[in-house]
Amino acid sequence: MSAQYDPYGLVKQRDKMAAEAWGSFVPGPEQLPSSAYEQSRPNNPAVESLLTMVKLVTTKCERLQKEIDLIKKTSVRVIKIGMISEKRLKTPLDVVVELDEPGFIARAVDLPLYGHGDDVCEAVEMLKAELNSLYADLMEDDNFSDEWLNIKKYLQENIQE
Amino acid sequence: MKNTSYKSQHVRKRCETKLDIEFRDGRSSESNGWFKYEGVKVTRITVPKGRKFIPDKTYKSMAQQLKLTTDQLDGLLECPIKMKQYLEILKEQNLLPKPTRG
Repeated sequence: MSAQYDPYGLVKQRDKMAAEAWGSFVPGPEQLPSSAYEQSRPNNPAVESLLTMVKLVTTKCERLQKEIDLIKKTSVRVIKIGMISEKRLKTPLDVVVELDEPGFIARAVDLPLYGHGDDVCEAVEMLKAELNSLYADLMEDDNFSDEWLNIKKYLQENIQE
Repeated sequence: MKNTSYKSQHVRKRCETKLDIEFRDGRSSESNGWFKYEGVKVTRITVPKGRKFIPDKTYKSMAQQLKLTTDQLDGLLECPIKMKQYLEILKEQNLLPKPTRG
C-alpha cells in the first residue's frame, strides 16, 4: 500500500499509531508493514518489545502466584476457642489450624483432640464438637487413667456452664 | 506412614477388633471410642466418618491419641501389633493404671 494511495485512511492510522508508540520518531515505509497481512504480523520492533515485556511480566506473575499458593499451604494459624456449645471457657483454648489436604485440621494444643473439615470453619466446629463430647464422657464417671483425670479436673475448672 | 493405604472404616474396624474399642458416632462427621484396660479408660481415639482416605496430619493425630508413633499405628493397622504389644507400648510410657489390690 503506497503512501499516496490511502482510500481508507489505513496508512494515516498506521502512522499515527506508530508516532504514539515511538514518540517523535516516525518510521519510514521500509520499517512499517506495507500490506494488511504484514500489518497483522507482530514484527514491528516496538510491538515485539512490548510483547517481550508482557511475557516477562506474565512469567513473573505466575511465579508469584506459585509462591502465594506455597505460603497458603504451609502457613499455620493459631486461634483461641472461648465457647463450646453453650459453655464458656474461662481460659480460651489454643488451637492450631493448618492445611491437611484435601481439607484442614484444627488441633487443640493442650488436649489430645482434633477436628478435620473441608475448610477452616468446619475443622474448628468439629474440634468444638469433640471437646463437648469429651467433656460429656469425662463427667460420666471417674474410671479414667491419671492423665485423663487431670484433663477432667482442668476442664471442670475451666468450663462455665 | 501408610495413611494413604487405609480408609477411615478400615481404621475403625481394626481398632474394634484388635483393641476392643467401642465406637460411638459423634454429632457430625466423626466417631470416637475409648481403649479400656481392666475397666479403666486409658486412651481415646477419634476416627473421621466416611470412606475417605486419611490425610497426613489427621493420621498423625490419631496415632498420638493412641500414644503411638505413625509407624506403630501402621503396624497396628497392618497386622504385626496386637493387643499384647499395644499394652506393652502403653506400659513403657507408664500410661496403664496400676493394678488395684483387694
